[in-house]
Amino acid sequence: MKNPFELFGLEPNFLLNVQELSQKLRSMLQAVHPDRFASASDQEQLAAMQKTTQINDAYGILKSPVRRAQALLQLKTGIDGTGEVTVKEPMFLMQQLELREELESLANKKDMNGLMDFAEQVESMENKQIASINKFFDQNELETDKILAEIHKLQFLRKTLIDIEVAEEKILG
Amino acid sequence: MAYSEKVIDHYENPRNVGGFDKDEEGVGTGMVGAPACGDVMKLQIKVSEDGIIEDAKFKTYGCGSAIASSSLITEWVKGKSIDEAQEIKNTDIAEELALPPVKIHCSVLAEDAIKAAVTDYKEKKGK
Repeated sequence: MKNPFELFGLEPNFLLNVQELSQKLRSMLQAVHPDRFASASDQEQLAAMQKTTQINDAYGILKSPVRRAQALLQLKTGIDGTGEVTVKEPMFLMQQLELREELESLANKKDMNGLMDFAEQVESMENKQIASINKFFDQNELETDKILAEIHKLQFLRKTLIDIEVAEEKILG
Repeated sequence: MAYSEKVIDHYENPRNVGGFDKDEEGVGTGMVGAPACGDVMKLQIKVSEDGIIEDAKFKTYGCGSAIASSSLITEWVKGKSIDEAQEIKNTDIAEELALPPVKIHCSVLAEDAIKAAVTDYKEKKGK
């Protein structure tokens, strides 16, 4: 089976154009749409359905910076970075704990403006993290331990961003 | 997924939530995290001069199983020596809380946290 980058006709790079990606998704999904296969054989219909699943799975990987980085690492080094591991970096984790504490306090106060400002702050941290991961791939410095550590950091920031969204939705009801 | 009664009990009434000043004498701090689910766990122990854990506190941002695992381990380590505390196995926690296979990592995290706290205590003391 083709890797997600190949499937979407993309070079295996970490940075990608999200708009271009969703345009490609639409045209690829159209090509395998069930309407087009209404009078096709069962076998062709099944193949189109399977292709649809493959396209959607690949899109899910490509649009997520974490999963895209993991896929790229796997592709370039054969290392699977999706396993459950324990991170033990006191400084970084203390910072993450403080972010969660701040989120908890803003959520308890139902401070919507505060949450939006906070989200911006964490998003800028996420962007920096994405840039530092890109540097590794861009310069083809494939020191897997270092890349994995950077991807792990991105995962914690992403989790905080998801929790911010959940908190915002709760306030909005 | 259904949580066991023990998990729910620890989740709803977590024991020993909080923390100590990490610079205080006799305090060891363990910080661990699980990137796959984004859980962050801080576990602290207060150790007497003869190496007995007098008190333990935790703060965990994560799922019910992660909170229950850290809550339980703070209960277990109190009164134990630091060496005994390090011998606690994640499988004991998982068994006590009846954790399902997908949540085993939460108990691993708690085991890693207590080990990290003891290591931190020893490093501080060695200085």
